[in-house]
Amino acid sequence: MVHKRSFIESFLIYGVLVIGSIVMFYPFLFQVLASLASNRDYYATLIVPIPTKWHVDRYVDIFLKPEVYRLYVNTFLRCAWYIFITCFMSLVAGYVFSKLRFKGRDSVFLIFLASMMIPGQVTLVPTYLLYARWPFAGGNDWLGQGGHGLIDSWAALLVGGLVPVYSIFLMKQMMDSLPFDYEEAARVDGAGVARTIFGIYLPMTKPILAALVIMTFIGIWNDYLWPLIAISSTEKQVIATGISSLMAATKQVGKVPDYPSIFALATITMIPPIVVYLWLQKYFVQAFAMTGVKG
Amino acid sequence: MKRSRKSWFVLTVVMVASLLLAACSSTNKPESGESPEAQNDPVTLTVWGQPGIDLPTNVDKKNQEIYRFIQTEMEKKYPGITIDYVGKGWGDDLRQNLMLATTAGNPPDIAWGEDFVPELAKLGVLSEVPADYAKDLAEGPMLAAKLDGKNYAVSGMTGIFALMYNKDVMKKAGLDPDSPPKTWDEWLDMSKKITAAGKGEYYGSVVQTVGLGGTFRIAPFMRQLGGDLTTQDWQSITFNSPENIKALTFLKELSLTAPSGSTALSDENALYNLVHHGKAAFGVAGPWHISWSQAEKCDCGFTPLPVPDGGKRANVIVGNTLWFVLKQSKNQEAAMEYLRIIASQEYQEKFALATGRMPSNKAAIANPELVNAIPQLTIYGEIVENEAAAPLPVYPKNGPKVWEAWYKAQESVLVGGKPIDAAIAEAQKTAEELLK
Amino acid sequence: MKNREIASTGGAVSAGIPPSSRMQKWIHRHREGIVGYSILSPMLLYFAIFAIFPALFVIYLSFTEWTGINGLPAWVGLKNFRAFFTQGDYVETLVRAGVYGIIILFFSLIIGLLIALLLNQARFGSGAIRTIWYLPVLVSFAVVAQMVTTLLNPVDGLAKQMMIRFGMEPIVFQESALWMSFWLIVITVWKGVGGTVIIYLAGLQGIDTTLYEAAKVDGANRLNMFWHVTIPSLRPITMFLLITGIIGSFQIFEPVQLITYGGPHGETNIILFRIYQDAFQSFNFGMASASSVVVLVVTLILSVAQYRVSQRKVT
Repeated sequence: MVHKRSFIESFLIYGVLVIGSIVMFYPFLFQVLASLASNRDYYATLIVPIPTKWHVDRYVDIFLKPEVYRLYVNTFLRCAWYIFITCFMSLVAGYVFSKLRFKGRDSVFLIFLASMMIPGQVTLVPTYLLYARWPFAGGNDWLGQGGHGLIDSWAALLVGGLVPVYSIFLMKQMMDSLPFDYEEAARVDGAGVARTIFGIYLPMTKPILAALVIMTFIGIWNDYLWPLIAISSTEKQVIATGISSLMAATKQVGKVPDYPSIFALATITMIPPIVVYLWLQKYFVQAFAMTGVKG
Repeated sequence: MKRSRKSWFVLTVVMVASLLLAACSSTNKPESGESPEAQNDPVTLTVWGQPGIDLPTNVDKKNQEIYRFIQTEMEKKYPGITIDYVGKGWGDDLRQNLMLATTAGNPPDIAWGEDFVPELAKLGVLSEVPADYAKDLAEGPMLAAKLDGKNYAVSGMTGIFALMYNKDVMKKAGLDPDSPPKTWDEWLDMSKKITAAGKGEYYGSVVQTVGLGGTFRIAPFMRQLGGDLTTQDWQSITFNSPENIKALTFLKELSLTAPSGSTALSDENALYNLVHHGKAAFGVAGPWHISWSQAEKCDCGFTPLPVPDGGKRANVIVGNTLWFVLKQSKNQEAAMEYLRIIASQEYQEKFALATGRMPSNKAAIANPELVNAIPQLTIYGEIVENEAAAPLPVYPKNGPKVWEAWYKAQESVLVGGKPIDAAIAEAQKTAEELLK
Repeated sequence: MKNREIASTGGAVSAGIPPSSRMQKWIHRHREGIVGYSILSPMLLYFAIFAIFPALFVIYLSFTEWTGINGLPAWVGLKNFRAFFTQGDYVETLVRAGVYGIIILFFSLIIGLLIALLLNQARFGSGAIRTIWYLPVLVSFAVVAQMVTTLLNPVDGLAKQMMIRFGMEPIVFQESALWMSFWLIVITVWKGVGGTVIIYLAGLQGIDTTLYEAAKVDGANRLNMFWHVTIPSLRPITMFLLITGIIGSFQIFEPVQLITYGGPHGETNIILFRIYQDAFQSFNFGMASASSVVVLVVTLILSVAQYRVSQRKVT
């Protein structure tokens, strides 16, 4: 459906898009420029701060801090683990829910789906207690008394959400749209379950996997509330909690706070998710289109 | 071939998932190494608090000396002891972190806070402190460390409120910087004059309104008139007394002379730096402002809080750090020894000299050397001697909720424009229901 | 243990060996089920521990009074629920969450649809524009909040400086519930609308082009086509977004926890932050759980109602 478009029409379309994009992008522009400006430039802002001298040294300072390194390493480890789990689980479970036929399959799927309706914060208290009272961990006895369980341990950062329901749902939708012929062919070939999933379906579901990688990375990178509550030692902090307490500390210093450094800290935390998105984005819309999110 | 690969796969799926569950339970074992049987090993004590409460001075050499002193004293009984100081915030943040850690079962050995000792003691998470540890400590500061007559903490330092005035600002506004206000009327008058003279450059008084910090600085004025938040025994709520309403009315008027926007500030540092940096003339300040204002290069003076007509001098005990030992700590003895050192005259004197804070050890207060070293402390010493002071009350039930009701009243009056009577009446009603 | 046995036998037998015994025949017939359940059962076990148990425990705790620190929960019956509906600001915060949610949803859908429609028409630069719209989704709310509070600081925030520079009387946003609500909504929409754009865009690209061609043959003009082809094709997606959005409105949490703290004096507080305060500031686990149960019930009712409505309209 290619229409001849008048000049005015194009002008309107791009006008709205460009103005909207400027509004959306303005905070980022502001943030990056502010992070490079001096405190005086920052306060002289008319529309965006104009650095008279470029303060790249702030970024150097941040990266010289060993605690910032640790935040990065911790969070990357966590992201890698959850990306692996999410892709693996959604492929396997998506395959089971989509391609195998057996009694009770749809009921199990429904139970999984129903859990998505429970907001995480609602079960925060019992989840916290579950971790704290985990038997035989962190000094706990078999009744879960006496120690701190999984709280403030790496396990607290790694064992939650190992059955990623939304991802499984997307993967099932995707696999539903693939013809059953592949499955037939695999069975005729005598391919095992593992080879069927990882040899046949994995290559065909790459766009979804890319989308899952993006969403998992963003989700874990920006996860704030759970690490805030579950992790108290400094060496296990992750980026969202660590950076925001560094930012708060910047404001606390008795002298006039160096506000631009807050923006520098913000910028460095935003780069990894943006890079991952830019790397995989071409699959992103495609993935949603393929699964046909239709509720 | 195929067969084995398939079963291998299914096995892995099962194993990975079940191992994960099992593995996490063992992940943490090595960490909980401080078992009681390892008594010959050097002890490690974890202390939570806010090392930065005297932030401008905490990198100071004198301050480092205090920590070294504690270390040496502890070494006498516990050779090779390690003491870890962990900053866990102050006030509500610290309280939340402590409670969470206690629920989980990994609290520190020692922590120090200000306003929640009786609450924690009631929950049974604090160890009782022997009475003789506290025998040299002043009565007032120790009031906030008791539950049913038993001590659960020792006071490491204490404080009380004075009026801080920036002499430069007073000069600029054409006032005599050596005659600060003595009555409410004078104070309000001067503040109005300064705000008028400042024309947006500088203002009269800052008024802290938000949360507990706000209540601390409102309560002295209610007490000057004979009002308070509760009855003396902390058992019934008296939010709506006419004295309280009068005090709030005065503070509301005073807050109109504050730097624009400052009444909505929840950040204490930013608020009082307005005075330190010459944006405002007056602020209610504890003894920690002595070193703080100096660090900010303010020519600040201190004077007793102005008194209303028909009122008498009264105050609130504040900046009263209470050190306590958690019951779950596996190093009870070493932790108690730590508390004994904190309560000692020697430590408190050193601490006072380093930070300009007021000791709560009676022998340390009486030491004239201290006053010579920090002349501004004289004012605070005079206030302690002549003003009736008590800590803020501890509610018998639903503490956090009762406070929330009061904060809401205080903020909606002083920050917003809600009529005082209505706001207070509402808080009173809510609080009474919560105590039922 | 049991699962593992089933799993290994299931795997070993299923590869086309001629079934000789009855047992093997049974296994062969149920091969898919055996494979399926051997994969699903560890997941189900995990799920039972980490999703179902907490949900049931919340329901139990809602009938008790407990600080979580010592002792066991004390049964108090319906006391917490009575308190929810009669005391404090619980109902208020619940309603407020809904109102915020609907406003946010409304703007997200309108803006999201508009931008997706325009992007779908754009011939060049659409990738860059799409990326810009998606950028806010990528960043952490904790970090955004720190910047927002810095900019809106009532004494020396840049927003105030700019108002003064433009000759305005500076507004103290923190004094006013209306202003703080405004910022909450603006920031949440800004942060989330990119996701809506992407989903609508996917929907638009998924519309069967033959529908347009058929419409053209029927002599429909473009407005007609938009109205009779595009909009109906997007209805399922809109329904999906509505359902998740309405459920999501009771899940607004971070902007309140990190930007307004529920202030001024509790007037922007919403239910999830109230739950968080009860649980992790007051350590009143019973009350927090009771509020959680109410949120859960409201969410369930809304989901079912939404589902019903959407089924009726689509079919």
